[in-house]
Amino acid sequence: MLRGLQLSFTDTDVLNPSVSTFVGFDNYKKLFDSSSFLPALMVTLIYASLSVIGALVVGMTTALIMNRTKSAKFLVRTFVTLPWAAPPVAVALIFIWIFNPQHGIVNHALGALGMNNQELQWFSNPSLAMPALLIVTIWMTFPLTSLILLSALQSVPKELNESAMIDGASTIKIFRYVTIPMIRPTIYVMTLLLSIWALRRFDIIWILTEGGPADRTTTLVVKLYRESFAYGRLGYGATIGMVGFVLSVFLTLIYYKASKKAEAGMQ
Amino acid sequence: MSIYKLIKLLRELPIQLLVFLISFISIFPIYWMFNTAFLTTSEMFLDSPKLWPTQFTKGGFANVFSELHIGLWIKNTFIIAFGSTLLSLMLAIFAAYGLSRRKFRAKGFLGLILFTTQMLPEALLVVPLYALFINLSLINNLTGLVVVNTAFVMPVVIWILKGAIDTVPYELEQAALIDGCSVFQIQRLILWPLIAPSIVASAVLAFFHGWNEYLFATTFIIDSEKRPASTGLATVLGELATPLDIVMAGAIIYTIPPIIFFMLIQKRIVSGLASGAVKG
Repeated sequence: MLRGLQLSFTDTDVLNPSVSTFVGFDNYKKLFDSSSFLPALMVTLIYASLSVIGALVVGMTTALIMNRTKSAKFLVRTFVTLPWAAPPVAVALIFIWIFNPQHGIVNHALGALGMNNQELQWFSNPSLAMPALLIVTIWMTFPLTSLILLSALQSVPKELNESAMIDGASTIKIFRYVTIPMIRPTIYVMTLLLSIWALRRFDIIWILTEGGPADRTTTLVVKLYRESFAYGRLGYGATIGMVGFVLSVFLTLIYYKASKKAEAGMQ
Repeated sequence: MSIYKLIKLLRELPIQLLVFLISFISIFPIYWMFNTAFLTTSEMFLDSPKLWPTQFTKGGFANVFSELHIGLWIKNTFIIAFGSTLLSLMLAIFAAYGLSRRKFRAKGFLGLILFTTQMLPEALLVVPLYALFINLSLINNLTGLVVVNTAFVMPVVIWILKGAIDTVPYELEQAALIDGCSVFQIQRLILWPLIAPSIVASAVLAFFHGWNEYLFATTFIIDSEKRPASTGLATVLGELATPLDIVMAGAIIYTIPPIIFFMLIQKRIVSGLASGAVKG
């Protein structure tokens, strides 16, 4: 950590890290001046926020359903948890094939439904790469989200729902004013965890798109990796890492504020 | 069937459909991986996709061991996952005990540091660790990866175990002490059995972490024979020379152990994780 901070002030080559020249704030200046920094930051924020929202929405839907269904409970539960148990690299390999332009099942299915008959280049079309990446990400993250939300839902006392129903509240109102406040702490924790995972995620982005096309999926982490190990600029890479760290600390602070507020609101 | 029942059934129908849809979306890519592994190369590139393999031959499995170092890679993955699980549990259980039971001044600060490490992007530490590991000659070395994975999974393990130890009444330990138990006996005979579910949950978590890890493996390992399956399979994809059914067969071999492992202990891990996540 501290070594990272120190490195970020130096000009260090990856092949020979013992030789490093102190360059002060040059790396930081270079980073903030470079035309690729802001886009990378934007990509990171877009990727993180959309994947978190997606995982929460899909996860919540799944959790609500799992909480209701009586039939095939075990089967649904097992099916839904499978994506989480599969290793990210294997997941990436499967999805590369599923989204294959000529022979992938997604394009075949879209063609069969008459929605599209071109060969969509999912991971190399600049406007499709991010949506495709988000689909894969949400597919990977919603199972755990829904399981944790489910365990929170099950801790909501049934009497609360029943008394609200007797008072004439609709299902949606019960969800909004009874269920959500009861499981709010869990939602907060899940949001924080998902955001941190999204900011940290490297494996599937790198394997699916390598940050391309045209840097449309280059998050800060991907940029850090590329600068340090493809271009061999360890010092510059560490600088990007520092910016990423500040970002996650900032996020944690927001989380603390929000959870303090929630606690205060409850009392 | 009475009208009332019918109406109820119709009302449930959208939900049942949604259940089906979600299950389908969850399971389909994994099913597709199996399907592809069993297809022949010509079947894969038909104009209309084959949803079911025509014959169950060995498919990609026939050649996966000769084409890829998959056996070696799985062995490496297992060494990394198992080594880091063992090491992190051994260290974390005592750290968690200390954090939970002893009172000392820097306790809050120490907890905060543990929490921050969970926030850190691993990628931030790749560079400094790389520089450090070159000096320690831990680059291109499985031991290096065991150490790194242990370091990254330990905070989470400590959090889960500390939460579990917090629920065990201290009086139990005091009683055992009076009965003449040694400090280590207390741990082994009283504490560990009581927090066993959490130990299992954190062991699974650590194992999965080591099994799935990609970033450090791809930067720290240079030789193909020393790669774990995650980076091994990923590089195969970059080379594009290997037929897809073989890649998929390799991916299946890599995916099956964690899935089986997971199914066996599903219930326990979910409750353990849920309590850990809420506390963390």
